[in-house]
Amino acid sequence: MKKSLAKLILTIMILSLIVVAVGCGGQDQQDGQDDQNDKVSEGDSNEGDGESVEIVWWQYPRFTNIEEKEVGDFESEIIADFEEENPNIKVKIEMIPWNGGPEKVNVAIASNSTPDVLFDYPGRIMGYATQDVLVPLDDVVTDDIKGDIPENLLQACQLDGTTYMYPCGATPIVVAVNLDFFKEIGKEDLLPLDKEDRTWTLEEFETALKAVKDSGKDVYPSMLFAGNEQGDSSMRMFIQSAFDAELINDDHTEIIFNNENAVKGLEWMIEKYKEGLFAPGAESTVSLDVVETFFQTKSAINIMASPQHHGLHETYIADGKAEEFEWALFPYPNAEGKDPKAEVQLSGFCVFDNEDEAKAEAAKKLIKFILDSDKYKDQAVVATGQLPVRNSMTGLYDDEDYQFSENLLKYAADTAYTANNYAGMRTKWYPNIQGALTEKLSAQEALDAFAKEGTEEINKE
Amino acid sequence: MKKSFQAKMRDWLPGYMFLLPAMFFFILFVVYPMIKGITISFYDYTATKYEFTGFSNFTYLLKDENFIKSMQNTILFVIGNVPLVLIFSLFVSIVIYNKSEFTRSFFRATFYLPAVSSIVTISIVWKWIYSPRGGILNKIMESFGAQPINWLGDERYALTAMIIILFTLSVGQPIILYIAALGNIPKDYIEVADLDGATPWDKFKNIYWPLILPTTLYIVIITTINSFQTFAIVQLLTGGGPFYRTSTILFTLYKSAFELQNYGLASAMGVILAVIVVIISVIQYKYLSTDVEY
Repeated sequence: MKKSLAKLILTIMILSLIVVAVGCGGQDQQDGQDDQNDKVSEGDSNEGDGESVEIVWWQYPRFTNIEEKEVGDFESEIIADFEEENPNIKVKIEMIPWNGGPEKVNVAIASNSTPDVLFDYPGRIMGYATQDVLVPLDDVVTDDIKGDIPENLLQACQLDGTTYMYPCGATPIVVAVNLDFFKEIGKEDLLPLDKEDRTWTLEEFETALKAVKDSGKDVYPSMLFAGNEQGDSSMRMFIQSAFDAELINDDHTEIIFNNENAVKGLEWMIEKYKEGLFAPGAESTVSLDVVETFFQTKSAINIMASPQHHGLHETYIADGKAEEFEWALFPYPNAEGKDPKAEVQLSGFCVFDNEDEAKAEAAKKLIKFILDSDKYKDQAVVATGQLPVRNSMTGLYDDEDYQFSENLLKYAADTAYTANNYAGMRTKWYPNIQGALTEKLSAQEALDAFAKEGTEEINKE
Repeated sequence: MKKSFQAKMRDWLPGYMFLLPAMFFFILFVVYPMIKGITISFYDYTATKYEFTGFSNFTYLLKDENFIKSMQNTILFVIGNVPLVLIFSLFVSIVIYNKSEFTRSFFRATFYLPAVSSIVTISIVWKWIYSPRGGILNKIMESFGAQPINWLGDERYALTAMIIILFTLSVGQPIILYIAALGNIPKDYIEVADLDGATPWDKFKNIYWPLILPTTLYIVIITTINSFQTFAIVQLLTGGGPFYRTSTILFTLYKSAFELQNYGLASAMGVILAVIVVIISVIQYKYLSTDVEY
């Protein structure tokens, strides 16, 4: 009896091992690029009308500009309405965090387990497009819709003329100034509040920084950040704007940010950093530190601001993490005091190619439902706290800052989001800027290194 | 008389059967990923490619300045942390091992607390301590008239500042192990030594140290491996900066795999790290292992 039981257990164990070994072997055969196409289609039974299909939607906490709603509530509301209208489609939402979310998507791509729908920005979405894991959206973003979106914004959603991202909102990254503080020190007149588009020269900007430093208050004039790659394009754009420097060549094959004007911009920035016009510790400061320090009124000028930050500021105040004060937005300064450059951050949807036409169609239906339906198209933009990308959508906000920011979209400059391997390129930015800030490298050496390493990255297969 | 094969099987089979469930999971979750990782290190494996490239990942890494910097930093983490942990934990243990139960528990809990706390929380606290903008360490230094230092942003101090954090995370377990090891040394040995007029140093050299050598070996190997695997504090506090001063092999590996999707290169880094750790562990084992029993 004992022997037969032992034999039975042994047999089961050996069979299990064989099953695992065979399973692993099967996985081996799936590796490689060709294997991307070997995914088991879960949706075979879903093809054809009336058959049910389940799609997965991954969402960063983007729809947060809605009062009295928790993160995820708006998405749940959309899904409930969508499923009611499309009873054969089930949508499974998964909220993914900012911190670690991009890595999760990368792992999903490598392990053939991508979601069907993702809401993100072109810096990452275009990277996925270059990896050929997205479904083209030209049938969703029709010519009529394309005609309603400014060309410079639409281009950021396209790769070789094919649309891979359906844009929802846009935000210019700008300078925010603590107006209450400037009133308090009697220097409000230093701010270009009455100028057209509130443009200002580098000299005017520097005078404002000096006024804060000389005020004798325990407040930093402003802050730089190079602790990691987060917000890197804003730091670059600040330098791009200063002396009208270009980041990348027209066909996106070479980083040219070691040009004379970029070097002048970085030299100016480092000189002012050493003079104490920017807070110490930029080498280990990250973009969120800059925003939080500004909200806590410990810095007077924030170079990483956007109109969206009004909602964020209110949340911080409600959580007791920030002071209440009045602030206003300005474009990045530049030498001439006109035609500044602006980084415009877009957000929108993409659809992953999971080798299942039914799922792809359902995913497209969902994003059309959100961005085209009368009920949700305005709400979705407002929920992101961004400005609408469509010319026909106006009057979404009463807020003066939003109306002002809308004017700045025309200054959108090339951020290289659509360059091949943009994600790789940006990892080469902050170490070299750290080298410049710590005077290990000169401005020219730092930008030479970035241009060389960045170019290598964007030309990787 | 020689046993027949069947008789041998009868003897061995139950033992192997008990091992089988553990082996099953060990093979599935340890051996298979390890072999797979080594295999991938010979491939150019990205989101869009999977091509055998032989040793090219390894040759690339050995010429890559940033990886070499990471390797140097990792070795400095080990050299800085392991002796410090060993000396400090031994010192604290010798001081407290024969104190009251309350005192021992208090110190054990105090030093072990960082090891069981969230690494994120600890990193945030250290970020405040080291902050160049009103951090507590600079405040203390300023009160003595010293100039504030950008601890994590100045390459002269960043690595040392990080080693101090790693030290606080590493020291808890060795203290607990040393207290236990010292408590197990028979009292008779110490009493005889006292009767013979041995000095504290004589007792340490001839009784304590030889008898705690197996524990020391374990602590040295474990602390070495943990130091080689420094990642979270780098990711959370410095991002490898300033200018690669605190980047480690594991941090570079993470960036390569999960941000740049270069899984082949990342696996090669993992293999190099494993080879280094194995070589150092073998050397440590050779010079610190002992047959002592008590």
